[in-house]
Amino acid sequence: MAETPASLEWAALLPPGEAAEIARQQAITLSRAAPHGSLADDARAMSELQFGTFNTVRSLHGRRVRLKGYIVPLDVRLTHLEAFLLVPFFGACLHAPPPPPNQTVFVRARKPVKIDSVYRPVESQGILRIARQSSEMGASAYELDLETLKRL
Amino acid sequence: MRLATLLNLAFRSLLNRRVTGALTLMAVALSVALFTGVEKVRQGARASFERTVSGADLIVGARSGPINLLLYSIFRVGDATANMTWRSYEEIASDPRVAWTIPLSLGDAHKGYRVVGTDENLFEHYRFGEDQTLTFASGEPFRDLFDVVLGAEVARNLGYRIGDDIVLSHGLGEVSFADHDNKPFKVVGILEATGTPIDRSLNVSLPAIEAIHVGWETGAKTPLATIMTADRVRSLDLKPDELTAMIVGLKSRGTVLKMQRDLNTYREEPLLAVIPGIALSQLWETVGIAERLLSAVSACVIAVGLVVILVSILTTLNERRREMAILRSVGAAPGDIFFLLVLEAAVIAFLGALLGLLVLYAGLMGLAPLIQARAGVSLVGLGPGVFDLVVLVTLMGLASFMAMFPAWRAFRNALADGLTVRV
Repeated sequence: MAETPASLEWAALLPPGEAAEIARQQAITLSRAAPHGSLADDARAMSELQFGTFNTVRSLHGRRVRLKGYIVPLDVRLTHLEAFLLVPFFGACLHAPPPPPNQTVFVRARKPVKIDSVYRPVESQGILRIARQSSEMGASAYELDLETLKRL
Repeated sequence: MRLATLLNLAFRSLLNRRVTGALTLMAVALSVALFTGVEKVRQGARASFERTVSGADLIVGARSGPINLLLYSIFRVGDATANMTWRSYEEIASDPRVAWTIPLSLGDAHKGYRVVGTDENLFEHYRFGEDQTLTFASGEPFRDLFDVVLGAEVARNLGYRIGDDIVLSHGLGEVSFADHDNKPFKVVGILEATGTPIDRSLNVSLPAIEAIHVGWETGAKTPLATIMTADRVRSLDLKPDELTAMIVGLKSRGTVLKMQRDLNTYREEPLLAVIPGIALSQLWETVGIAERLLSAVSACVIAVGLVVILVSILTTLNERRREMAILRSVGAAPGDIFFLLVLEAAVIAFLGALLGLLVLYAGLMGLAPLIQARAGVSLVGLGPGVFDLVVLVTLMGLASFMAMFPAWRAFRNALADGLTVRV
């Protein structure tokens, strides 16, 4: 029997205390001068600027959820997409820092989907999981096995 | 009356008016060919673009625009505005998040086909279509400084074989007044056809690009280029110090957003890193307006075709009153008359649409190689499909629906006239 999907807000992906942690990180970083160095140095410094952590909400693992967001395709085959990132705002790859790992969902579509435009929000439904790999390099903390994709 | 009889009558009636019938048929055929053709070319072009590259997480180049970068680096359309430094390339390639990179150096051509400076990473890591790798029809990757590997179409169209000597031109024009003529290249490999712009490219090593530009530092050929012969140039240090773009494959796809951000904010050099899927989506968004306009226009043409069918039935209605009376005298009910006219419209629509589709397939088969040669787009999926069937059936349905108006008038006439007609 299929479990009824729970409609999630992006804030629900943040464990309790995350907001306080982010505020703390912001306070520290604002007092630091911007670094100027090699790509590796910059990246390391920028990591610290990427607020947020890999902290996840354990109870969400394995739950069927619905989440609205924007698609960042991980392949050029837009009519036959097998994997994409779901992010809370459009332009996650533009001028602002990308969303933190626990506000990014790596979506796997076993049945490839067709997306018309990355400018339109979508609602993804599927089984949410805590990502198995947790690197310090800014990946996503959550994964979703996609069941349905609805254009909004 | 039975359907078979009515169908027979419908055909006979059309045959009787074969001149106007043929013209109506042609109008319908043309409108269907146009409408379906627009859609097919649109889908074909998109499919073609989508199978050009797979597995590339980021494309990096000097700062320009995302669509530009995607177009000139992957689709070999358009030009770069500036190069990026080799130092940045090495830094990015050695980043722990990066699995592989393919450097690309563009700017030269041979008889209009683009020359790409790259290294063995292209043959090892480039993927297209359904994750296919580049394979050699004959020969092997370049090893010597002046070796060149040809794309399938370059070899076929220019008739080159392994061992041939070719001279590269400076710049991208089909005819160049500036050749690197004292440094000929030897064909050592020919790739299998991929259906991507790789077929229309020539691949050489990065040091080779440096070698042929010795003496060209001013932008034009100086005597130094002639003095430095192919042999003399081998002894120089030909390590590249710049390149046009690079394709990046990451160890973990999820890191793409962060990696892109780091590259776009890289302080040492103004770079642009794009996610190919995003850039392509932007391209379709830009082109989409024109596409929709074209679809709307061709839909109007279909409407015109339908009106032509309607007119052809309406105008002959009066003359056919005696014909209808005769039919009634042999047992046709007024309802049969109605049905007959609707059927006629459906038959014209069916035959017209069929003819239009056949003309379209023939036309596309003839045009596809031309489009590929001129625009580098290999249209995919040009055969019959579900869309064609939907168009056919919908057209028949619409024609039948529209024919109900004259058919009803004929029905009324048949009732009123009885068996004697005063025309």
